[in-house]
Amino acid sequence: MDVAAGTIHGFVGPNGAGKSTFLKCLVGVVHPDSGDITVDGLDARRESLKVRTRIGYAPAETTLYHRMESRELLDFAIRYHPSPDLARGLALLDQLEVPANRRVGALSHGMKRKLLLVQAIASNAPIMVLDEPMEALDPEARRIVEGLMRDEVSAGRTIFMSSHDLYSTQRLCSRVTFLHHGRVLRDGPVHELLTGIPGRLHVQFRSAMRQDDLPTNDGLQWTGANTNWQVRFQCSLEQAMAHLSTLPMASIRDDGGHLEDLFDQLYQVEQGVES
Amino acid sequence: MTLLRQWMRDAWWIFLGYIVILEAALVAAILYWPNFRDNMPAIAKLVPFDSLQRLMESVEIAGYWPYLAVQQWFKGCSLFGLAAAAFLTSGVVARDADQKTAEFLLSRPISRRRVLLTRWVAAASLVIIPVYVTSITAIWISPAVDETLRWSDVLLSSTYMSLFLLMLVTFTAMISAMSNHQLKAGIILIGVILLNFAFYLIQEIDAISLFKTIDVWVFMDIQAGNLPWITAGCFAGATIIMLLIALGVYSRRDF
Repeated sequence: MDVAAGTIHGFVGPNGAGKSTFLKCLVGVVHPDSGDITVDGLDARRESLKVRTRIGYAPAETTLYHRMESRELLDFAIRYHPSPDLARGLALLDQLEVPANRRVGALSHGMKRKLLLVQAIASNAPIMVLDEPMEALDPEARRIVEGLMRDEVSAGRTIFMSSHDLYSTQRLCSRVTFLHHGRVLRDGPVHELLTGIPGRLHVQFRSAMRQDDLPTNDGLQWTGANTNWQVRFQCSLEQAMAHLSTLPMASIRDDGGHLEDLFDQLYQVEQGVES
Repeated sequence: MTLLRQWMRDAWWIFLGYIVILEAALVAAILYWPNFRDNMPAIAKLVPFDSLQRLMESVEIAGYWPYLAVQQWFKGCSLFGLAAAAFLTSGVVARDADQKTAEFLLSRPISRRRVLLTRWVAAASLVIIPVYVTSITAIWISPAVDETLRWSDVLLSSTYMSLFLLMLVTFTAMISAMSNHQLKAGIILIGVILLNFAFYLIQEIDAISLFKTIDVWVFMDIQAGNLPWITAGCFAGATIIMLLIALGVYSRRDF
């Protein structure tokens, strides 16, 4: 797999797929058994130290030096990079409402996640490697973090992120790699990956409906209960809408063509093959 | 916040406690000397084990210097120095593994060699500095009990004891580099030392005990001008070998 410079590349897979292990190999925390990792032309195994000067890394693990204050941890995290920007880091802590003078041990899980992201940005390294950057963030913080990540890419940085949050991944990433048991299952630009993914509509009815009341023409598949239902379809959106037109709908929303559908499809197939 | 400061922050209080206890134990022992000297026959009857009785004999024969050697180096520095080495060095690598901070630390652009050497030098300094500080205190306090000590004897003995402690520090660092638990590294050090002390108390096998290399006769030799170069060289050699092993293990470890 290749990660293009100046883009956000997503790294997706179920628990145990090897995402975090691969990221640890990238930053020299784990030594790979085989294979090659090259960062800006540098061998990540033989020139690990040089590679790490080019990477601002935010691990998934939020256990940090708990006796340090946030600003001390930020300073410690970035000071060995070639051109760290502590002032920017402190400003970001302020923007994300992380108390700079509070001990890390007293911060919430979400605050620590923000602190990790901030130090990756403030390292000023050309590449940011983020392991689960959205985990434990509230919706408002996610919006801010997504904005920050877009700003960094606009400024010429490259972001390689693993995530279980496929909605954020789809919004942010131009390319996504799906991993399974340490191997690449699917890799490509998001719009190409989504080609052929079944459509999905969220339907709210005016009165409670039973499964038997709902049409199954053209392979429509319904899940839900009472007035809230979701329908998946392989046919075109127009055909699906035609089948629904006679139903007592209060509202309808297009939820289709999502990475989550591709995820389900890919890993259900894989599990089927394994079983 | 530098790597050294980050490490020292946790180590500082242990260092302070260690130096205060060592200093207090030494001052108390020196001020007790006149009583001890006057009641030596009665005290000697209470001492168990042949090995410890031989220590008493040396004091009866040679007086203040072997008494100080037992109190300061054989007992004080080895006991409290051992505890300090266990506390200060067992976490050199294992604490990050234990507390799950290794991934954060090692993903910084800083080499593992630098991490280990920085912490090893810091821990070794914190264990050794009090040996010199308290030994020099002994020179100043001894006139209070009508005794005098030569600077050269005290400094050479302190250097010899420091080499012994440096070996223990490095042994602990090596175990720490292999371990996922700080406690385990400390317990292994203490276990090894207790075993050696048990050997020392058994006359038939005391020659294989590490304590034989720091007992009172060695310090009496140093005072007599017979420096234990070979033993000191073995301490230094073992230190270098164990440090190289620690560096090798740490550089290959996955976290």
